[in-house]
Amino acid sequence: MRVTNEMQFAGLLRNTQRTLANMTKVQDQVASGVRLQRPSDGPAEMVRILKNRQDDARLTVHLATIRDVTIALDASATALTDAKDVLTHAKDIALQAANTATSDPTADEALAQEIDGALSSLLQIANRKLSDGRSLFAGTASQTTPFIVSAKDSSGRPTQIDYQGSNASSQVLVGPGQTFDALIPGNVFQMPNADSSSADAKDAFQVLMKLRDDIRNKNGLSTVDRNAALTKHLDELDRVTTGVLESLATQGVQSELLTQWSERVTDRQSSLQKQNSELESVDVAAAITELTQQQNLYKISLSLIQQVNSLSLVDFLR
Amino acid sequence: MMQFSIGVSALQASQRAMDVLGNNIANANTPGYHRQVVQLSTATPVRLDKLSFGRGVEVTGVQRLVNEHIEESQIRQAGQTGTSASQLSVATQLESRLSNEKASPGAQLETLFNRLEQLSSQLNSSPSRKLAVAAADQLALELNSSATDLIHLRDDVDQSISALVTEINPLTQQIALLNAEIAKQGTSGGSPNDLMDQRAQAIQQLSQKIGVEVLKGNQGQVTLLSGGAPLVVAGRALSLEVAHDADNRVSIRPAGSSTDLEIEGGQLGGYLVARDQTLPRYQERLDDLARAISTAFNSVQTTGVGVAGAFTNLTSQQAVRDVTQKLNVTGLPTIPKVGTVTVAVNNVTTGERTLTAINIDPTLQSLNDVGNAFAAIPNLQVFVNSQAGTMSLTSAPGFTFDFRGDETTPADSAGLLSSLGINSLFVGGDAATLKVSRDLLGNADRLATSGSGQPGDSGNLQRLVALRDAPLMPNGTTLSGDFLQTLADIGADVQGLTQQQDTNQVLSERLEQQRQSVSGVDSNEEMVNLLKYQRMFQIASKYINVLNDAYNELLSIR
Repeated sequence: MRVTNEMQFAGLLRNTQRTLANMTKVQDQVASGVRLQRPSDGPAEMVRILKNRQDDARLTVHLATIRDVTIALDASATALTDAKDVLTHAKDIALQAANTATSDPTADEALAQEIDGALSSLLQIANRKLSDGRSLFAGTASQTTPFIVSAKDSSGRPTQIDYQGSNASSQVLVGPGQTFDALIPGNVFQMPNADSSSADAKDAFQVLMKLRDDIRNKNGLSTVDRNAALTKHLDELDRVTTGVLESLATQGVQSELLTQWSERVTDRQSSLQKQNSELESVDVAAAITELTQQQNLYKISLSLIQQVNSLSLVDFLR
Repeated sequence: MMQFSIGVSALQASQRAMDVLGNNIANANTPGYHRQVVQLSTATPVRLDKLSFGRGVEVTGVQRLVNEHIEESQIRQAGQTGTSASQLSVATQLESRLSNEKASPGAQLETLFNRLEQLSSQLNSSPSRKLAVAAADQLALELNSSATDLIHLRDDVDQSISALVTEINPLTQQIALLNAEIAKQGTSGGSPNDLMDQRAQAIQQLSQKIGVEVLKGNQGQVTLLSGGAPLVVAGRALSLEVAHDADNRVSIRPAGSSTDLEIEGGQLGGYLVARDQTLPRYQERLDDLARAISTAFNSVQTTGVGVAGAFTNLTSQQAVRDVTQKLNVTGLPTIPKVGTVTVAVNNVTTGERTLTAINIDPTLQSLNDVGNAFAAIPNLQVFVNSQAGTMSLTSAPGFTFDFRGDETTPADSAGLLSSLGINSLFVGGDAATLKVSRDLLGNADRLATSGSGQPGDSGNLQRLVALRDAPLMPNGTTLSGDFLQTLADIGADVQGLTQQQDTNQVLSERLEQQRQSVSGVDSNEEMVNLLKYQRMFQIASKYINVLNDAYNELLSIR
């Protein structure tokens, strides 16, 4: 093949430019630490990176919602523990009243007042709210105060407490299609397996109100009947306490599941971040080696231009 | 005295040869120059006494060294390089406009879903609702902005097309003039080598811009064809002009003609493919995504309620052109299907809920007809505004209404609410016109998170979030997945075109090397030849000197 000077120079120039372009690309990668900067650098890998980043951001949201659910679950667990304590205290008072051989109106009034206090505490606990104003035990009717005193006696003591909330739990999303019951309905205070047709107490409030009235003996029962009634209330108190304890246990299980879920989310997030790091990060050692190679090539190309230029027939003619 | 003329012919031949060599050296770096060699031949001999005597040397021509096959390949290659270069230029711009990771429709869609998921744990937080609605608004704005970007890109391409045409016309005229001149010089026996170089160079430039096919004609002339039209025939050039159609799109046609040319090669061909195929393809994908987002979110939003519960008053946000026209022809971006919409009227005092299903057939009903059907429902008043093309629903005092349906009745199988923008999240259809409903922007509490009407119910919010993982796009991908796929496709386009461009570059370089190998000037070779003809000149001079001395000797005889 016939080779002309222009071919030599064009070839040298082309190769120099190519080396310079390669060098700039590697320099960009080393400087930014990122191997892929736009979709055309690797369409399939770039899409994977973007998808991983989206999933990562989504998992961060899930961790935040998990935190919110945990706060709600902790708050309701505390409330249920407090409710259990109130009911246990009420049981102690009922026992005290039932074990008194003869009725002493002054002592009974003191005991009944204690039950009034317990009722008021229980009402306060059942109407507890989260810091953002949502009721803990109103289910989906989260902005409603769940238990209201709808009737009082002449002394201003509650005689009827009604539930205003919803019977469905308020659910929070903690994963794709994965929900947790954050706010439970007020039926946790209901008597388990209550007979709706009987006049017996249906919930913890009614138990306390009936207990209070029977301690005061408002219905004028004989000592035997009063003691039988008090014994029945003791049994009822046990049943509603068991109901509350069962709910507490359920909340505990939910908390445990939530912790496990949170760990899974965190693991998944770490795995995504690791994958992305592998996909997009520059292998610095390899990149620096490549950069050095390109720099050497560049130096050689430049020195070749000088050498080619120095050789001509003209130099040998006299 | 024939000997003197032989010497003179040698002197003249070596001078002409050195002229040609000088021209070669002078043009060693001239783009498109083809080296020339002088053609020497023995002069016609004379016969004397049956013997033939040479009469010296004569210059019979100056040959331009050219390999036609390589030159033709170069012209074709210039066209292909032009095509891939312009396509790559548009695709790269498209990539940079759509792949902004922080501000793209895909990124905003993810932000919207993240805020909705976050909202599930903060259902009664007004700021969280506002943030979710703001994310929807931002998503609509990103889609609008991307659609506008594509329109601007198309306008830029149109401008490039117009600019190219203004560059092409002078080139074709120049080639036609050179054609005529070459024919003229050829006829008069000259060798128009330099004109042919100029023409070859101009054809090369032209082919890069418009892609031409070269046909050889008489007297060294060429005919150039492009898009089926004869751009240059002998000394005539076809002038091109840019025409604008009703959509302000440019097309190319011969001046004074009404028929568009189907240009496929060169930068022009590349720009036309980018404008008429690549950009519309991505525009359509953005529009499909916008429509899918609008339909999916609206179908959930319209059949739920916000924290404020059921409605007392709603007005459609998507106006019809004419309230008496059937719904399928009155300019709605999405046309309702044949189906039913179920309206529930609730008695606030008693809690009684009355459901009424209304049959919808867009080919038979106008907005007026639909309004009349709604008006027949007790405790619901309807006002169809014929000026604005909208419909307002108002419940009687003590009543509310909603479109939640129940377990057995589908809430809106016709998609009427979404189509008319009644309690919808989005209004508008394609990427350029999608907007968040003014109702929602003004009152984020209307974001339908609740399925039952209770503020803590996340039932409808869960349906909204479920759209995130649902295969809503025709190819079975999710909404976000579809945008990522679009990015991947643009990336693959750019990658493919870059590789094509690199290949074209290498092919062009190889062809240029081959051309140089035949037609390029090698300074060493020219120098050697120069020495050769210098010697020839010196010896011829010496020969004349010797002859002169010999004749002098003869003349000095006394």
